[in-house]
Amino acid sequence: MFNNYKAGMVRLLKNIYFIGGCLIAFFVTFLFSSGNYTLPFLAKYPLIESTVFVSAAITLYFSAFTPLFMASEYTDGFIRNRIINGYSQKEIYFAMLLCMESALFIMTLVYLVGGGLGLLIAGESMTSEALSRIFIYIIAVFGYVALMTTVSFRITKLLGSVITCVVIFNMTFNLVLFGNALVAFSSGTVFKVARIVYNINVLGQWFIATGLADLEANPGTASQIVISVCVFAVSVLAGIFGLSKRDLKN
Amino acid sequence: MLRILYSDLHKIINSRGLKFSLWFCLIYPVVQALVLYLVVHTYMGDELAGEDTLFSYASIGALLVSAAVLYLTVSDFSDGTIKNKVINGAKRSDIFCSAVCGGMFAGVLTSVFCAAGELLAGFIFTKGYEILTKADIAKYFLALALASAAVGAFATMLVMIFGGSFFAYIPGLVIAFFFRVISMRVADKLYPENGVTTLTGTRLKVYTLYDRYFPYAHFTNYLRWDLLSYVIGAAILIAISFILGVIIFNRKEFK
Repeated sequence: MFNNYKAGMVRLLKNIYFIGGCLIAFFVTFLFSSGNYTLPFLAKYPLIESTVFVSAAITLYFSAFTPLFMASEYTDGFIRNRIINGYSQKEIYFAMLLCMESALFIMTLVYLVGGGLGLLIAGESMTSEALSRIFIYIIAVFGYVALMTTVSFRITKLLGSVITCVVIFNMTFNLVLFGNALVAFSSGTVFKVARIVYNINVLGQWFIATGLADLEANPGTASQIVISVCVFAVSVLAGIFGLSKRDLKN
Repeated sequence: MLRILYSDLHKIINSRGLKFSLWFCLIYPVVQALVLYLVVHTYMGDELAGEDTLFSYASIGALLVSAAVLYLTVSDFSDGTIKNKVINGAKRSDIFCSAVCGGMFAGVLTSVFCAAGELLAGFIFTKGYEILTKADIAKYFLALALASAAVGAFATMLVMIFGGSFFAYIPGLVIAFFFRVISMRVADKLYPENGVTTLTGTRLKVYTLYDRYFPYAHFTNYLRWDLLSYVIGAAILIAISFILGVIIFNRKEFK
């Protein structure tokens, strides 16, 4: 598995879309956090809030990048070569998962460096409270990336996986809009269920992290992390369920 | 040109992906209206009006058309059809124009099926249209069809320009999502829930121009402008797609 992981990492670090994505993450975060550019409704808040706000782009980026990166597994017979070499599909899946999570880790670091530098230039500092909010949201993104990896690994056609991943992202966005209304107007058991659904959704957690969401939508840090871990676990289980018996046609 | 257009249309009509997307268009509004009906009926004890069902396509239209067009166009590059066409002596501009026409056709087809789904949902779950007349509804669907055609043309242009690399899969879908967020923000500023808009000066002009003439902003659940604005907006985007696309596609190297 680690050989596959190493090979994946070499490919990842040379991937032009990943390098470009990291550069964009750095410069965009820097622009927002240094106060050079801001959105009208964020202008009245401290700059750290803008930094937290742009982190949504990480989710969007991985919705598009994961299927693109994983697609190469199914072109040119890569995955068959690996299987002939004695690796199981499960091992390849875990190597890819680890690879994508490492990609997320690297991008988060780049994002934090960009944000920290911008704040430093603007004369503000990264508060530990804001950092913990970002941290909780990134845990949710780890779960989301696992879901994207599973979708991209399960759907062997690039076209199918790209469309599915972007549609899932669009659904998470819709769910935030719908969830905001639902959390605000419901009560009792419906409210509790709505709150859990709102937090399963990665953009819901992002909206809570930005502080723009309803205060009641936040079930507490521990619950948020547990929900994210559950999303991760379910995604991985869905990824490996019956994987060894799968036929590889293309 | 006509021969290529014929073959493209033939492919579109027989495409499994498009058929799936059309079925989805037909069923999605009905399912959404059913959920809304259950919520409104059981929670509030109220009846739905026909107008409440006219939002399904508005929320997914641009993305759906982009996805359908991507499915139809990108296979030309992956299975070498484009190269075959060029080898057969077809002009590049003809190949491009025929693909964009196909994209527009797919867009219109998608919107027609979604309109059918929405009308069906209105017929089953609501007590009828309260404010809109038949002419208004027809105008609304016509405006959506125009916007879909323009988005179809633009998304096809993007795929044709970037075709051959992995990158071709992304821009159409991401742009559809991006403009959806922008459109929501613009609508929020131009038509606030309480009172009138607070925008002034250049910003008001830019926002209004965007809202009035940009097809990606036309995926709304009611008509905001006269039909002529929608026609002009769609025509401009289609013209841009053709001109820009032909210029770039003529110089493109096939890998």
